[in-house]
Amino acid sequence: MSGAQSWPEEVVFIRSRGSDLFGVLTQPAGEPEETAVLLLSGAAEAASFGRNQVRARLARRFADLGFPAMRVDYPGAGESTGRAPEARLDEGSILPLVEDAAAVAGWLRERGSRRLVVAGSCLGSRVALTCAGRVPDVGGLVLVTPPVHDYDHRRMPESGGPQGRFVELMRDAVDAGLPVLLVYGRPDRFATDFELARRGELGDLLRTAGDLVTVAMLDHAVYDFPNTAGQDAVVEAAAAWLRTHAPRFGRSPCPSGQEGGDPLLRLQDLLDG
Amino acid sequence: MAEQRLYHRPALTLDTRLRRSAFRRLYTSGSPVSVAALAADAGAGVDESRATVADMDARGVIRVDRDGMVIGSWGLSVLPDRHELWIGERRFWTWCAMDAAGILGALAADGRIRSRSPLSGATVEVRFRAGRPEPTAAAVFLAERAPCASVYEDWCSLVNLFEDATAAASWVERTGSAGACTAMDEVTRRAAGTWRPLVAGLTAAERVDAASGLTERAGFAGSLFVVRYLPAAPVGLALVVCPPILADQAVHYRREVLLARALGARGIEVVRFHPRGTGNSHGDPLETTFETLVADARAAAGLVQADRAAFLGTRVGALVAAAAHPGAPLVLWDAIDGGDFWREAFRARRIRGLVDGGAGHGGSVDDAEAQLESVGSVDVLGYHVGRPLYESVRSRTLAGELGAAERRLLRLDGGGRWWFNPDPGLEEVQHVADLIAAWLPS
Repeated sequence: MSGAQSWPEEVVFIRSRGSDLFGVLTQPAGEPEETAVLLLSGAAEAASFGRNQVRARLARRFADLGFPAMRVDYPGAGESTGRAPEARLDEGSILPLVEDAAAVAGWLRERGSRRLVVAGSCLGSRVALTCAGRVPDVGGLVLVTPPVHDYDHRRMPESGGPQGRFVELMRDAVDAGLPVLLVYGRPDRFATDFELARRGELGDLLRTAGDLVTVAMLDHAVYDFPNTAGQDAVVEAAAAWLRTHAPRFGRSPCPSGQEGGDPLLRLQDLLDG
Repeated sequence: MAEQRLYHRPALTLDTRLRRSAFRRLYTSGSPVSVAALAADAGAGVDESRATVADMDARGVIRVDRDGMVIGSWGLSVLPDRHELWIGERRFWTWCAMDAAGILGALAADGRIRSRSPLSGATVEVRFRAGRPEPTAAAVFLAERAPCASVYEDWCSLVNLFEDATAAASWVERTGSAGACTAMDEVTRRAAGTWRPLVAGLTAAERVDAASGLTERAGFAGSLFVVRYLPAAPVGLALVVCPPILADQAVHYRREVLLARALGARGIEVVRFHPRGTGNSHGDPLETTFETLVADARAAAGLVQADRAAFLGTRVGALVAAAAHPGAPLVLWDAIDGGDFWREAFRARRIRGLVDGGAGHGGSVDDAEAQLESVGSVDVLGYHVGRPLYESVRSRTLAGELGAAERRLLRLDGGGRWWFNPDPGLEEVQHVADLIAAWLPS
């Protein structure tokens, strides 16, 4: 299959835990950054492109900034094979999805990526957060409406302070020096939960983290991307953060003997004169 | 206005668009390509494109033959040139050794590069497996970048394949060329990044189901995302699945994937697609109309290999399926007329607005229609709906799209059970697959 696409995109199946995970890699038009972005969806989404293509738009926006971006269907969702995950946030439910993320990260590494930003929404944000320290080369996190509860979608708790591992995982990320973007929508209950959590231990952690952790509190609802204004706001907030924080993700050192400059010509530069 | 917030990619320059299109067409067809075809791809005038191509030819960044046909772009040539490049069983040529390595690397392809050492004239061959060079002593000399009149003549001609690093060093000493000798795997790894954007979408992802032998091939046909299900033992029948739109697409998505696999396991070829501006496809959702939905269904149907094809459509997709190929057998699943569809959608939008209390929805049906009239688009449950889609679907009915011609119909009504169960059990899907498989051949 061939033909014109607005953005160059490559479709793949990646084997993980006995399933074929379906993914779409959006490539920058020019030479890619060494950092790739892995996009993970929420539990309620039918496929990784998201409601109104919000995740496809995120991937394409990131590619315009030079970052290859990969969106992946969970097992049992979208075009992937296998069984759908439980929409639960306990470690036993999350770790298999982290294993899937590691398989995708390995594929991206084989394709030349040296660093990974993991960007997830809701369930995906908690998978992303758990990837820190478990998946090699994770250099940053974008967490959209991360629940501060380890909830079970069948029994959503009343709003309240953090329960479960959220603060602990955030501390791990901060201790590892990872830049983190937290995005909430003010009308969402998860934003209320976050604000309550901020009054306690989480607030202390965020103050300690300084500018390593950025909190974007948007005016629109964001949980499950229920409206286009919120979708657009998330895309722009994430793109702005990625552009600003890219130098902090760290780049792989030059191969030995090449410190004085890259002898390998960038063909595209040459062609562009 | 909602459409003003839609993100559109900054436009590439015309010469980049033309070079990119040329590369992809040369790779796909293996033949010279006309400037008129490139101009159409680039959305530019033929005269302007011809002038731009001539300028690029002079700078050695595209190659044109005596008849004005483009024969090379981004290092890839469809006529004999300095380096022979085999991609699988297809033969091309490249302008420099790095081009060949980068293209194979980007495609993750099996293949080989055959070239002549500038030092000894000996043939040097490097074999690739899955985009990586097999162990080899061969090395590439990468000339230093310097301003030049023609990239093809002045720079590419220096970037060659040598039998080993020693041979490259001897040649450098003899010629005084400035640059560095680089191992094949390193050249490939790094050059692949340059060609990846160019080859993206040229190859489909494929998986084979171990139990049924069904081959599932996902990729892009132009701007459309398409998945083809090719049975191990085809029965000569195919089904084109026309998906529903907006929130319905998500609700019924997994059911259509599982149904396609179940039918494929029964020997029936299936083609699924995402209409432009939806799902994984490209395109602007605000430009979607009923007519583009039908055109996309026809484009997907064009990929069918079997002799006979039927169409399946869900919800508004049923109207699309009916219009796509008059007379073709039709499976209608939870079909809905256009007017009823919008009434349902706007009612759901209003209810959501009342429940969420300011989460960005709300307003009556009249409000939504007024917004479409005044602004040109409206947010329906988080989906951009443009006036062209609304108006082109509103007056469509199943009866109208079916017309008076006789055709075979299978009607399925899943009702609320499907609506509230977007992740259907395999048993239910297998039952529907049995129904369709029994109905199709008769």
